[in-house]
Amino acid sequence: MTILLESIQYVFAPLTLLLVVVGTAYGMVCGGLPGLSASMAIILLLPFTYEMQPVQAIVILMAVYIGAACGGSISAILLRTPGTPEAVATTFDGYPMAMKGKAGRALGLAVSASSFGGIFSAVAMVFCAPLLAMAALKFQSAEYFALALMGLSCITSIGSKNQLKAIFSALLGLFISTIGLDTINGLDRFTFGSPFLMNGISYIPVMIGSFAVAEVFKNIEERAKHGENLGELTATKVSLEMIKMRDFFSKWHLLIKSSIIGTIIGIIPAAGGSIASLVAYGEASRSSKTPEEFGKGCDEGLLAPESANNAAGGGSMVPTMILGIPGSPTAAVIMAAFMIHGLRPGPLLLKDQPILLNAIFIGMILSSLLLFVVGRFITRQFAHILKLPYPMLGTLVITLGIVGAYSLKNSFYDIILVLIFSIVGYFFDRFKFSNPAMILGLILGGIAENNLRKQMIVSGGSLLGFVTRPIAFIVMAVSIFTFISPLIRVMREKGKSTKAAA
Amino acid sequence: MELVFYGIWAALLLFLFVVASGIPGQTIKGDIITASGFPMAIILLALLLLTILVIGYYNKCKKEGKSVLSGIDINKNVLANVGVVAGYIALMNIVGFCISTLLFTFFNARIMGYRKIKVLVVFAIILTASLVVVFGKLFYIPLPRGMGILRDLSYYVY
Repeated sequence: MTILLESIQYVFAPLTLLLVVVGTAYGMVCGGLPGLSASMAIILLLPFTYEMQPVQAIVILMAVYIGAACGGSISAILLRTPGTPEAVATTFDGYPMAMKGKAGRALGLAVSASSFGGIFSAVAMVFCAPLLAMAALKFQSAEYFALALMGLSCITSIGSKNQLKAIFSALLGLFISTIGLDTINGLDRFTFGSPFLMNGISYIPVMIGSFAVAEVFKNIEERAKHGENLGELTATKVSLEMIKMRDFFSKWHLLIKSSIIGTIIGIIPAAGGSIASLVAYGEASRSSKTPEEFGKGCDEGLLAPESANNAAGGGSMVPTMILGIPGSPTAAVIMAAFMIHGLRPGPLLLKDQPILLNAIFIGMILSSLLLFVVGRFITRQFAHILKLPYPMLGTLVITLGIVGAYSLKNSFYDIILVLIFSIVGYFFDRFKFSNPAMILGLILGGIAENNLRKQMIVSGGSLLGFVTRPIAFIVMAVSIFTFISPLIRVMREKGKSTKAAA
Repeated sequence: MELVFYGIWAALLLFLFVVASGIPGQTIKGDIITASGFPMAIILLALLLLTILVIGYYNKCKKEGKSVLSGIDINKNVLANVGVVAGYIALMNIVGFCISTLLFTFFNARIMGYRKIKVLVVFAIILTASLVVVFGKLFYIPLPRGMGILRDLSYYVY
């Protein structure tokens, strides 16, 4: 109790409070700008923390992480451009909701869900950090493959309009993930001698091209078809709508389930918030009573990924602080901050620095709560861009997308990828294929293939390893069920409509 | 148009299958899938699905009495926009980020139908300046500088 009170005193000191507010706001702005990730925002802030006390430094960096995880949803909802990789799944329902004129509600739901997920994972960390960390150590190749399979099983939930086209899109994404040097034996695959392709194709330029830029092309075509003068469109005023507590907590089961998914996936090293948000979205769609509403702007389609991606952020700090193994690339940067301040992440941190650990958890909870306050101001500023006439807005989206893709690796080839995949994305939209499924395949393909082959090597070519390991077996069974159930549902509905017609 | 789309993917996938079959086989004991196994399996599944989709499309056209080659229309505004974006990307490494973005912002919005030239000029300048300040100065992204004298001049800006 004394430790907790001391930790609260640390966090609620005026300077630390100010730093949490500034960190959350800075994180939201960076997260909202495509191409600028949480890692980049934290790296840039790191030198400013050298003169701070350790608690202050770590708390502000965590606030940036939480702000960025939420901030990615702003451009995802307003521009269909995920500001951070974790916000990919937010575009599925966030943007359609904004198109229906409910951008304020979409932003309100996203911020509320992010806040809930962040608080949930912080509380989980307070009570279960050592246990969760031990569970993370049990994850080996078979479990990672099962997890990737679980993510891929969401394809049929995402592409509910045409399952075959969704699966085809996912297969293309899986194929694209194989381009580059094979991580198992170093052979180059489909590189055609290009040094750029040897590094593989990053999913961020593909995502920017097929989502954001393709959407601009699609809008140009639709506006031209309906005879609208592109130069005269204006946007309505958008501000963050405060969601009623009753409305929000009526979906408590979905929020808790998604936060649990996010926390668990966040705990697994290298899994990341993007996988957590996609798995949470797929699970929400599968278990929903109205799965046909997903992809059209439904509340659940926003609540699930946003609570999962913020929960994953908190979850990723568990192996980072307790085991000294970074839970995500961003957590790795925060781990560097620990070392700069003379702290050693690992099993002894809990014993030697209990006040610091508790202060970090309380800082995370505070930052998650501050999302409402800070988010209101920042979304209003971002929403000003919607007042631009569409030719300007479309040009802004394309330019921001191109610069965002370039800033990843400072590579000109990433810009070319944006153009190529904008054309692919445009035709995918036109012929009712699924861009989200392609991105899902691209994100998860590497994890699935590498861990499948690693497990085969470890078990001498035997597939038994996937069956004899209980966690892997259960996750795979759930994945197969998640994959098949939307297909069965569609077949049943077709059967019913055929009978009704007869 | 959709059939042409399927045809392009089929040709590409067949080509990639041939390339994949040339990737060397097992190099590590136990790696029975090998470096080529996963992509080849993906390509075969994709070709199978493509076949089903083509058959489905053909049956649908037959039912609706439409030609399988119908719908070959791409909006000229979209084509123009793609051309301008391609031109922007091509110019970026030649004239540098500032000039290419200024030109792109102006011409792209014009092509999309915005008529007020003065407003557009101001918008182009503000957008370019904002991107240079945020990405070039604040986040230290080494934006493309162009060639020759334009490259030297860019150092005065970012």
